[in-house]
This record gives sequence, structure tokens and C-alpha cells, in this order.
Amino acid sequence: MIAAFRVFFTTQWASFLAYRVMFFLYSMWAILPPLIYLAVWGTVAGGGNVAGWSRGEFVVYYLTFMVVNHLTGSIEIHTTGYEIRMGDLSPRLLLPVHPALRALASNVGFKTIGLFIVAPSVLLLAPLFKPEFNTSPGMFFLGVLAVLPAAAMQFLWGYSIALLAFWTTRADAVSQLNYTFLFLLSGEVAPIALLPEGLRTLAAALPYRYMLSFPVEVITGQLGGRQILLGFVMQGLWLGAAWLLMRFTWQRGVRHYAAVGG
Amino acid sequence: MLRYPAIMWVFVKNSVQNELAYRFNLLTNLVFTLVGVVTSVTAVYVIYGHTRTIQGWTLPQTLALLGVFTLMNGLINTFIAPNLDEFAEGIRKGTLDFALIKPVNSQFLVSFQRCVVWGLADVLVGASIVGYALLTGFGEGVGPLQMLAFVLAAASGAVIIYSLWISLATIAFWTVKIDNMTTILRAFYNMGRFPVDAYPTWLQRTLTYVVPVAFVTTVPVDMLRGQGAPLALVGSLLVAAAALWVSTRLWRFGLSRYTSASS
Repeated sequence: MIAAFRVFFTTQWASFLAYRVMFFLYSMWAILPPLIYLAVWGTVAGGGNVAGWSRGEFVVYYLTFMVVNHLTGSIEIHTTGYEIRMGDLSPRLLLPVHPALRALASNVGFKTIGLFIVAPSVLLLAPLFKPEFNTSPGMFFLGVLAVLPAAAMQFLWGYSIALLAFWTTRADAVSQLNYTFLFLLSGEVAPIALLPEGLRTLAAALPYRYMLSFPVEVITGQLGGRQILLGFVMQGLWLGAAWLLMRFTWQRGVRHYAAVGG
Repeated sequence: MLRYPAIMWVFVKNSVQNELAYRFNLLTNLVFTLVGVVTSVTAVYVIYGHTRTIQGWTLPQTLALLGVFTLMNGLINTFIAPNLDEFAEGIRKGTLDFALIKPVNSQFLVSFQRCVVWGLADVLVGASIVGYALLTGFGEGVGPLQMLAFVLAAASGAVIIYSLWISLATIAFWTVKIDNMTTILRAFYNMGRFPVDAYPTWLQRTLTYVVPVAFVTTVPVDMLRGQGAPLALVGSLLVAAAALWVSTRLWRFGLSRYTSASS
């Protein structure tokens, strides 16, 4: 399986390198939307602070958010979803490995190449906003550790949504709805701590916060020991649930699949 | 000149008939309009939960701005985006020929021959948000004069966003593919959901002089707030005229490069 992954990874990597302009544009999409909220919150904070957050803290939060958003984001609706709709999945079903492995290789390849564009862009943006970094190396390390389960959750979750293409041609609509939840409940519109009571409770219970916002909160040093532990437990639980969801949709979907004929 | 409105009416009628064939799509799109609006309104309320004003903009004023943003977005999705996507396709396949042999202005034909009516839902919802904001504590002194200035500024905002879009689309005469270009434009247009005053100076300048999104949402609502008039209004009308002129020049220049797709 590892050998198969390596083959998939190399071929995906090579094909992605052919689309350099796409990566540049993609990095604009990763950076510009959070930039709106970074700028607005920064202005609201002004010289003082909002609910204990200074301008510089918002800056660090959102710059970290941009990078983590890139590292955790799901692209499966564009890869797997498209393959199912166009019937390209058929030859892949004949291989002796699960097609999800190829999707995973594509996901990892995309993020690795993308990081070379997103990270420098964020670093270029940083001096324009004067960040104030106050976290400890330990927190930083723990936060980076939390990125991995978050990315895995979004991959499984996004893959399951892409698999809806087995049943409907509008799987992209579900994906868009999913993005709306991420926007509201995973720290893009505002850091979770600044959401109104109702939304905050919802964010704590639903999986979205653990897919993106949680690692950002840990990296920027907002959470205490207990909260971090609880966050990792929630990540573990939702990761298991996402795994079951993916298995279930795959088994049902592939039986339902009628490829587009030539 | 009089036949252009008549032709426009035929385009709209045809498109409505076409779209009504896909009723389920119409329904899902309506749901998405609502989800989108609820999300953006929530975002505004979340921010105003922590502050009373942002650089002088009150909650109803920012809501009105969001209304204008939604309305313009509806116009983009109804008229501009579907046509210009099809235009790029026409260059790739050579079907642009059919537009060029018709006895009307080719830029007009390519810009408006198709419309996706469900975008009009955004226009209605956007207008309702503006109305709601005006009725719930927008501020003193919104008289007929301010309304007139608002309508004029909004109209020139629409002309500006159209000109930007078609100018970028003419790049297709050279590169064939334009979806990348319109993606960037959309990312910048999205910044229009907040007043430019809420952004740092360098970003304000970018949104005023480089990608003039400020004229599309901020300036019209400024007219209602009694800010910057009449200078900003005159500026907006001038920018609109200049942008439209540049777009027609670019269109003709691009057209002279067109050699159709057949061998």
C-alpha cells in the first residue's frame, strides 16, 4: 500500500507541477477571504482591544489560520467528485487498491506544492499588519500536531461529500453548504471565543471547529491544558465518525454507481 | 438605438423559458441564495456584537452595504458571468463567429445574449436588505436627493463592475482561457461586502484605484450616509464613463486579433 501511495504521489506531483498558474490563483483564494476578516477585526480593535484581543493578536490568529486552512482544506469535491461525474472512476475501480488512496496522494501532493506559494505569501503579508506573537514553543508544537487529525477529518469528510456524486449531480451544492458551516463555526468569520453564546456552543459540539480552528487556537496559545486535552479527544471521536461515514458512503455509493458510457 | 431595448427583452424572455426547464435547479439555487444571505448577515452581526461602529459605519449602514453587495452580485450572476463564460467558450470553439455576423453591436450581443434568471433572487433579497436597513435606524437625513445620488452611484457602480469584467474577458482573445482571471476578480469583489473604510490604507487604495470595488458598494451607500457627496458621486460617474470607454477600446482591439477556431 505504501508503494502504491508513492507511485500515486509522484504521478500526481508531476501533473500538478504543470499547473503553476492554478496554484498561484488558488493561493489568492486561500488568502483573500480570511484577509477580509483580519482587516475588519484589526480595524475594530484599533489601538485598544476587543474582548481582550489586541490588533496584533488578530493578525497572528488570521495569518496562522491562512496556513492551517491550506494544510487542512479538502479538495476532494474537485478531484473525486469530478471523476465520478465524468465516469473517470471506472478504470480506477479495477486497480487492486482503494481509489481513496489515490485521492489522498493527490491531496498531499496538492498541499505540499501549495505550501510553497501560500507560506511565502503569508510571510509577505505579515509586515503589512504588525503581528504580535505570544505563544510558547510547546503550544506551537502541540498545535502543529493537531493539524494532522484536522486534515485527516477534512479529507474523510470531504471525500464522503464528493461520493454523493454517485447519487446526485449537485454534490457541489452540498460541498458549498459544508463550506458555509466551516466559515461560521471554524474561526473564519471570527475566532471561536468571540462568537455569540449560541454559535459557540454549536461550534464546541459539531465537528467543524476540530477540522480547522482548533489547531489555530492551540498554535496561537489561546487554550489552557484542559481545553487542549478536550480538543484532542473531540478530534479523535469525530475522526472515527468521519472514517465510518466515509466507509458507509463508499460501500453504498459504489453499488449504486452506473458509469457514464462512452 | 431604440431596437436595443427590444433585443434585450427578447434575450431575457428566451433565457427565462430556458431556465424554467430546470425547475429543480431553480429551487436549489433559491435555497443557496438564502443560505448565503443568512451567512453574510450573521457575519455582520457577529462583528457588531463587539462594537457599535466601524470607522463611523453603524450596523444598519453596513447592512445596507451588504444589501448593495448582494444586489450587484445578483446582477453579475444574472447577466455578466454567464455571458462572459460563454464568450470564452465561443473563442475556443469558434462559435463567436455567429455573434459577429449579426447586424448589432458585437460587444452588446456577447455581453447580454444570455441571462441566468435565478440570480435575480439575489437582486430582490439585496434590495430588501437595503430597504430594511433604511427603515431601521440607518440615520438622519435620507431624503429624495440622497436617494437620487444613491441610485446614480449604484448605476455607475454596475457599469464599473461590468467594464472590469469584460475588459478582463477580452484577454481571452490572446489566452483563450479566462476562468482564472474572473476567479481573481471575484476574490476582490468579495472584499466589497464591507466598507473600504474598514480596511487598512494600502488595501483601501488598492480597492479604489487598482480594482475599483469601492465604487460598486461603498460609494453608493456613502451617498445615503451623506458622506463625500457630491465629489465622490462625480468621481464615480467619471470612473464609470472612463471604464466603459476603455472596455470598448479593448474589445475592438481584441476583436482585431480574432481569427476564429477553424483551420
